[in-house]
Amino acid sequence: MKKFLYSLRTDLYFSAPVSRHTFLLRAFPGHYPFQEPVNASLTCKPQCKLAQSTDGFGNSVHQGYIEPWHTGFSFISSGEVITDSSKHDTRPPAPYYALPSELTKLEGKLADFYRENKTEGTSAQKLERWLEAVQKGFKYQKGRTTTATTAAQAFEQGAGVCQDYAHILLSLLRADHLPCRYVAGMLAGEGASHAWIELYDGREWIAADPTHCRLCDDQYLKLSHGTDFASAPIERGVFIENGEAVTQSVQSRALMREI
Amino acid sequence: MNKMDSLTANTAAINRLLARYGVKFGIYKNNTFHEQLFPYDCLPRIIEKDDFARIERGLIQRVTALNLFLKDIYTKREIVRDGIIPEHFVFSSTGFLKQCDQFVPNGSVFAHIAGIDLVQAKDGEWYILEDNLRIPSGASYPLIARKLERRASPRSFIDNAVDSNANYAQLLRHCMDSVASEGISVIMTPGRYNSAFFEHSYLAEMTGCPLVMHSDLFVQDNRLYLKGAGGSPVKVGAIYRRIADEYLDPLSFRPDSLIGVPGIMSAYRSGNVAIVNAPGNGVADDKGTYAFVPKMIKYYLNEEPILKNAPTYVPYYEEDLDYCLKNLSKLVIKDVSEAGGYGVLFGKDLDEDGLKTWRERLKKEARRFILQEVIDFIDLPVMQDGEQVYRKADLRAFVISASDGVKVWHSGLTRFSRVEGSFVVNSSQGGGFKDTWVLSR
Repeated sequence: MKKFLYSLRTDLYFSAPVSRHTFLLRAFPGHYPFQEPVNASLTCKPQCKLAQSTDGFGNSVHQGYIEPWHTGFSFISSGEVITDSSKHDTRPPAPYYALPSELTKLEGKLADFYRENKTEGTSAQKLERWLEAVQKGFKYQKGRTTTATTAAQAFEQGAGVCQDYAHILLSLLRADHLPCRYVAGMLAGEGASHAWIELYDGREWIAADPTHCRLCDDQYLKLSHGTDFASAPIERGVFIENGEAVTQSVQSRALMREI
Repeated sequence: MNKMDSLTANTAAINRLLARYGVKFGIYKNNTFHEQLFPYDCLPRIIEKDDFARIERGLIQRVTALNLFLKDIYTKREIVRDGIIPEHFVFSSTGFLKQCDQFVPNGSVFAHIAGIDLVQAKDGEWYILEDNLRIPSGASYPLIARKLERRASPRSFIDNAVDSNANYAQLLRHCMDSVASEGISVIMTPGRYNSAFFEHSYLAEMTGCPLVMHSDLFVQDNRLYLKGAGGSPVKVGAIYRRIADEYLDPLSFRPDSLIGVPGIMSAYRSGNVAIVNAPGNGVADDKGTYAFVPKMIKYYLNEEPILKNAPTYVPYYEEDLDYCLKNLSKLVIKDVSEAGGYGVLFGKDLDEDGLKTWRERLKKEARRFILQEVIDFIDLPVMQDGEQVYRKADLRAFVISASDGVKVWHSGLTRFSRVEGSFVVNSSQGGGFKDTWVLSR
C-alpha cells in the first residue's frame, strides 16, 4: 500500500479563437479495490461547470461547455490516492473486451507475429509470454506514431510509445480470445500520462504494463479504461471556429509523488 | 364493392398536390443531390379488419420482445448467457454500441418508433421481412396522401369504412411526452438535404413540436437546451432525432460529425433527455439478429410468434448449414455485416461455379451469412398510364412504443415496384407508394 500526491495538467492552445467548445474529460480517478482517491479535484480554465456522468465502460466522465471565444483551454486533475496493487477489480468483463476494436485489429506483420509466437497455457502464462514477446519485437521511440496509429501500423514500423505497446498487446491477447482492456492513467516518476492494459483471467482483472514489461505495482494510478485509446480518451472536445482553420497544440504534465 | 372511381380520376390532381406540398425524397447520385417525387398510386392497399387485427397482435408481440431484447443486451445479457443467441451475433454487430452499454432509457423504451416491413405471400400469409428500429421513415406519406384523398374523393370514404390514420401525430407526440424528462419535445432534422426532410417538417407541423437542427441545440450541465430566440434557452426533455447514431454526438461517436449535438450522450446517460429512438438499436434490427426474433419472443414472453419470419437459416448451426449447402440455388444469401440492399444475393442467379464457390464460402465464413427462402409475395393492382397492372408490393407498418404501452398505427406505407415482376420496391430504386386502408368493419 502506498500513498501519492498526483496532478495531471493539460493545456490546449488554439491558433485562433474558438467558441461553443464542448468537451468530455475522463481524468477523474475512479474508486477501485486497488486505488482510493482522496480529496480528488478536477477543474478547468476558462472556468466552467463540469457535469459528471458515467460512460458505457463505467468510467466517470465530466462534460463541460464554454461558449465565449477563447484561445486556450486547460484542465487539472489533482489530489491524493492510496494504491494497493494486491487487490483487484473482480467485476466480470463485457463480452466485447475479447473482440478486436478499431485500433487493435490483428493485421499484416502483427498477424504473422501472432502466428509465430502463440503458445498454449493459462491466461496468466499467455500474458507473461506476450509481454516478453512484445518487449523483444517492439522498441520505445517517441514521435513515430500518433493517437490514431493502429496496433498493426505501429508494429509494422517497429517502434512507438506506451499507447502503441498497449494496443499491440491487446491485439495479441484478443487473438487468443482473452478479454482485456486499454487503461489510461499515470505512473509515478513519469512526466506524462501513461497507458497499459488489464486482462481478465476468469477471476479478476490483472494490470500489466507492456512498455516496461511487467505487472503493475502500487506506482500506477488508473484514470479510465476502454477497448482502445480512442474509445475512452482522457480529453475529447469540439468547438466552432471563426472562419479561420484552427490548429491546436497540446502540452501535458503529470506529477505523481509518494507521500 | 369499393367505389374508388373518383379517386382514380383524381390521381393526377393528388400527385400535383403532393408535389406542391413538397412530398419528395432526395438521393445522392454521383455526389450531387437530386430531389425526386415519390410517385403515388391512388389504389390503396386494403386490409380487412380481421386480417389487420392479427397483424396488430403480432406486431405488438414482436416489438415488445425487441424492446426487452435491447434492454437485456445493454444490461444483463441473459439471453446470451442462456445460449439462446450466440454471443458473436450480438457483440460483433456494428449496431451494438458500447457507448450505450449499461444504460436503460426512460420508461425502458428503446424502439419508440418501429417500422416493420411485411409482405403477404400468395397464400395470404404475412411474413416479416425486416425490423427497422433505428429511425424508420415513411409514415408521413400515407398520412398526407389520406388527407388529399379525402379532399379529392370524399365519396370513397363514405362508401368504404376505413379506419382514420390521422392519429399518427398524436401517437408520436404521446410517445415522446411519455418518455420525456423535464422539458419540451423537439424533432431534429439534419436539414433539407436529407432524403426524408419532407417527413421531418411535416411531422413537426402535425405534432406541434419545434423542428430544430444541431446548431439550435447545446448541452450544458448534462442537460440539452434549445437556444431561445433572443430569450433564455429552453430545456429539452425529449428529442426525436432524425439523424443516424454515428452522427449523433461527435464526442462519443464519429468525431467528424458536423450535424450532431456534442455532449448529448452525457445528457442522455444522466437521464436528463430522452432520445427517440434510443441509440444502439441497430443491434436488434440487423440481419443476423432477425433470425433470432422468433426465439426472443418465446424467451421473453413465453409465447408462440404470431407473425412468421421468412424461413431463415443460420449456417453457424450445423443442420442449417447442411440445408443451405443442398438448397443454395433456391435461397437468398444475406451478408450480416452489410446494410441496406447491399450484400444480398439470389442463389438462382448463380451458375455452377458460383454455387460451388459460395458453398465453400458458407463453410468457411459460416457466421457471416444468413440464408432465406425466397417468398413469392403478392402483386397489387397499380394504375399505370390509365391501365390497371399488377406489381410487387410490401408494407411498412408503424409500431409506437410509449412508456404506457405499444400501439400499432392503423395504416402504413405500401411500397410497390414500378417494374413488372421485380421484387425491388425501394423508393430510391424508383418505386412508388400507396396508402394503406385498414377497414373498420
